[in-house]
Amino acid sequence: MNAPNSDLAPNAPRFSGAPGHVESYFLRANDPRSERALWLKTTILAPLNGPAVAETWFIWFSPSRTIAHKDTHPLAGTNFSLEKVTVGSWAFEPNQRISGEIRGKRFDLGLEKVAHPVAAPLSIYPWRALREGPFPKSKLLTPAPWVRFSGTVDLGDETIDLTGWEGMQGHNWGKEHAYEYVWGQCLFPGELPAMMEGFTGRVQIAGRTTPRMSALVVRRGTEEFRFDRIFDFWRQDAALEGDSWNLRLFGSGGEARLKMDAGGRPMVCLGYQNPGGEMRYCFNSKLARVELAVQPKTGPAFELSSAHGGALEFLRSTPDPRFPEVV
Amino acid sequence: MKLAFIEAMRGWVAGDDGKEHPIAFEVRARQADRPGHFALEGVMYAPPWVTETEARGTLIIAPLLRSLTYRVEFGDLTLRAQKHPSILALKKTMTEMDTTISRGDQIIARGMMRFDLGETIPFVASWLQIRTDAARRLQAGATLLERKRIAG
Repeated sequence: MNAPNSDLAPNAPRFSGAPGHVESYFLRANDPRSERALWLKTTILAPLNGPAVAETWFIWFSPSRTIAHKDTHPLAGTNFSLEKVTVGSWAFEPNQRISGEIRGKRFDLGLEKVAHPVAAPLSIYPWRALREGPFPKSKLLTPAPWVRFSGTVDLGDETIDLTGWEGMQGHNWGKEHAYEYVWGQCLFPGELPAMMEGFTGRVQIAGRTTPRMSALVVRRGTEEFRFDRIFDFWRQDAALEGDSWNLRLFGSGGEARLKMDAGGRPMVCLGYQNPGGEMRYCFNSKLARVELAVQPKTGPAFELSSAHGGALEFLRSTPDPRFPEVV
Repeated sequence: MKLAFIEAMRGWVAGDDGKEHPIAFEVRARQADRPGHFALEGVMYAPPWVTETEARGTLIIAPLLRSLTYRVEFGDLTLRAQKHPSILALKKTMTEMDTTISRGDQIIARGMMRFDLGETIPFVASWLQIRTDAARRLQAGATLLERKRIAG
């Protein structure tokens, strides 16, 4: 597996204390048996003007109800370190535990990083320079692509046992959110465990918006297939239509075709503020349908699918009237 | 001495629902007694119908008809693919072939398979009976199928 090459641990905080920074730790847990998922996220927002804050997010997805809460805390009194992140009542110890409370919703979850090559830390970016250099302004790492959960979530009127739920833990940071992106991740349990994570994004350089750039990493068993020729625009095709994302990519891993669709599935709109003050709108579902087909350059062609296990996010610069509430 | 070579073809086929599926085969072709005929033996990858399975068939090279025709049987399915080489579009006509998959008389998927030009050197080497990565891959695939058969 191509693990991130960096002197810093994947979960090491990148915030130096200087203004103009946004950084998040996030976890998702999916019920493998039904359409239910939990999304937890904590963010440092250090605006260019004004005091830095920490935000916590709690999103519950199920067909019967979607619950979305966000709290904002002064950064003073919080702790962001490699070993532990604490924000208000929230406490996150990577690969061990996350617990906290928000608006009467409580969670206390054990995190077990799955011991399989598929679950090794992952960077979609092909080069260290993209992770650590000035371009792009937003960085993405997945310290734990496959996490097994235990413990409970108390929704106030219902307590749910998350034992056996599976998901991932991610970490991103940068000077600002990307201008526009789609990000997807999915686990495919089975005899030969597999996972995929990918993105399509556009960034702004000198006031101009770049074409869409895409990358995808697929892991299956002990193999990794990378489709990460981000700047090779001739060998990638991304189509965004409604709440679906279709991607066709060529790379060193061969050819991949991905379809993720959250149409008709629970979705929330989250407001992500950039350090400069402008808002970005993240349309977020953790119950997307996923169909992935891979034609490697050598070896077996294969297909993977998930009925409701896909994490799918669309970040846009404008709100959507379908979502009157921006959390 | 009879001719033999190893060939891998990859592509995508779509069923009636329009959904595209990857498909690939890696076969060893051995010259048969009939002129222009080769016996094929190898491994087929055609999800969602089969993840990997034994494949057998024939390749008929007919210079007068300007055609190469593959018929590969795997499980209860048959792959048919044909290319018509032309010097007017040599690369395309030598590397791409229209493909169908059928069950009995019914075609269940159609598409296109390609020969990867990056595989040219191993392909040529395989004619010379040099042990190449292609040969090792084919052997590995055959061994895997054998193990699966033994394991039941």
